Amino acid sequence: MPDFFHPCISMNSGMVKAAYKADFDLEVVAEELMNNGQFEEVRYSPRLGLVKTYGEIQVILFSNGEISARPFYKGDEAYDYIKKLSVKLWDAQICPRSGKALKKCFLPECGEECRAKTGGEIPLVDEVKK
Amino acid sequence: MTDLKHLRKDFPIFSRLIGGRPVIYLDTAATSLKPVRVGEAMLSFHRQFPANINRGVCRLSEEASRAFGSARENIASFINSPSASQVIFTQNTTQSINIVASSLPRLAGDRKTIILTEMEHHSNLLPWMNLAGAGFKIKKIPVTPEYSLDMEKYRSMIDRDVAMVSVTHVSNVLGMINPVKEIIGIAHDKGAIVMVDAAQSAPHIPLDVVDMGCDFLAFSAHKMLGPTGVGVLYGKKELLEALSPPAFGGGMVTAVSDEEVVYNKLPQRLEAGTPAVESVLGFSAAADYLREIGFEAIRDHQQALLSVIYEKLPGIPGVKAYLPPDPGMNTGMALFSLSGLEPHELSLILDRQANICMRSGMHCAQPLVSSLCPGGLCRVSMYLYNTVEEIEIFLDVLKKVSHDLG
Repeated sequence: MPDFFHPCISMNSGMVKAAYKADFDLEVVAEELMNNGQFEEVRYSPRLGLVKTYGEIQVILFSNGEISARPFYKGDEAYDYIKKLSVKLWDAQICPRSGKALKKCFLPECGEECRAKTGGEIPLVDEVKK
Repeated sequence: MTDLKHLRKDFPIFSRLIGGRPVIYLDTAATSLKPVRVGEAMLSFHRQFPANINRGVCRLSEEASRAFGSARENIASFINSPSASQVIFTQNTTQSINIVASSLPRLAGDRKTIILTEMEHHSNLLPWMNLAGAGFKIKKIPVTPEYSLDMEKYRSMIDRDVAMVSVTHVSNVLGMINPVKEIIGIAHDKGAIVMVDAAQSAPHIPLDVVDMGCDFLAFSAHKMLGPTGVGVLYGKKELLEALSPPAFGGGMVTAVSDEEVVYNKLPQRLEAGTPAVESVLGFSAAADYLREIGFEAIRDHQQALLSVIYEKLPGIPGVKAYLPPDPGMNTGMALFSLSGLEPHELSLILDRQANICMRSGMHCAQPLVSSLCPGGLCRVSMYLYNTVEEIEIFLDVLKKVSHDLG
């Protein structure tokens, strides 16, 4: 479940930030977000270990899986946003079996055959729950 | 440089690793770290004499009362108060200022003007703004482009309608030291009362209320290595006696009947209810700790850290630094922005990248900060436990963020 924080007032006075944690391949995240068209700009910094979007809603995804998105007027709005974002980033989530992004795990070159070996079940990471 | 590195072992937080790295704490202006000794002083109350003070006659109560009284004497000596009875324990600086503000209508006579500065923390702004309904108007001493107070303007503002001049000794945003002694002298010439917000100066500057000449002074333990939940209101005796008690209840009276209440003398008159005894003991231990190190050593150390900041921070691409021109007038703060990143985002990235704790946003001083940068700013605030190495790491990470994201 996302956490909500009310940091010190700034230009987004009274608004909240949502934080959530999941395992992502940042390189794939950056590709997905760049292709998404929703953001004015997306930057990926391997040495800082993060992907950052620019635009009305600002999202930062860290290499440890932490996602921060802000600003939102209320918690529900932040929750919906994170939920939709996690769906968009489904391909970038790490398969807990092969340790690769699902996008790469599903390719024949992967060789791990996670889908077959799990009886067709896709090894999903935790769904964003309210 | 006075090397204070050996003191770091006194602060347990430095042995905590997050993601395999130690914490770089650059947010002392929000609250300071606490040395082990402060925690031990607080525990002594719970372990040795966990009884209420100034009420019982049992041994434990007597010991607790004695320890509490000694702590008050110690804090009085820390600010050179003529008497321990002029040191009122409150929750924090905010409450101390509120206590005085709520009594201003009875202290002010016919005077209706309050003078503040443009660099006040909300704690020294809102209590006075709240008096607008009682007919008071506020004037503010402007801040110059060099981040000092416009003293000429102040001289032109003050007249015999000024009831109160309430100023911060050190800006919580800029770290700038204000000439409070001069401000007090000018105010007293016109018969105004002066309150000094010493929340940010108490950790850095030896306070001497007699030499300063202030009528009231407020500060908090937690900014000066002490615990949260306790602060001080110092005042001149006759002015403290004229204040309305902020609360009514046990401990503040000597006699109560259905017909009459006889209030206790100072300081108990203004301290109804059981105080935060263990926090006061921790406060006293913090004052001892600072005295042992010495403010001169703290200042030398701060200046060494600041010299690195002044040399390197403004040169980082995309950084705009808001530094008082004379580092000697800065108590160890650096306010800055990085183009392309909002302050909360920059703060989050530095934290996750290198466990750098710093403040972002309006710093509870929105009128000043929004006039400098409407979106808010970042602030690092350094203290005796920080090292040059930590400042170098901060600058290095900031440089990388500037290059990759700014």
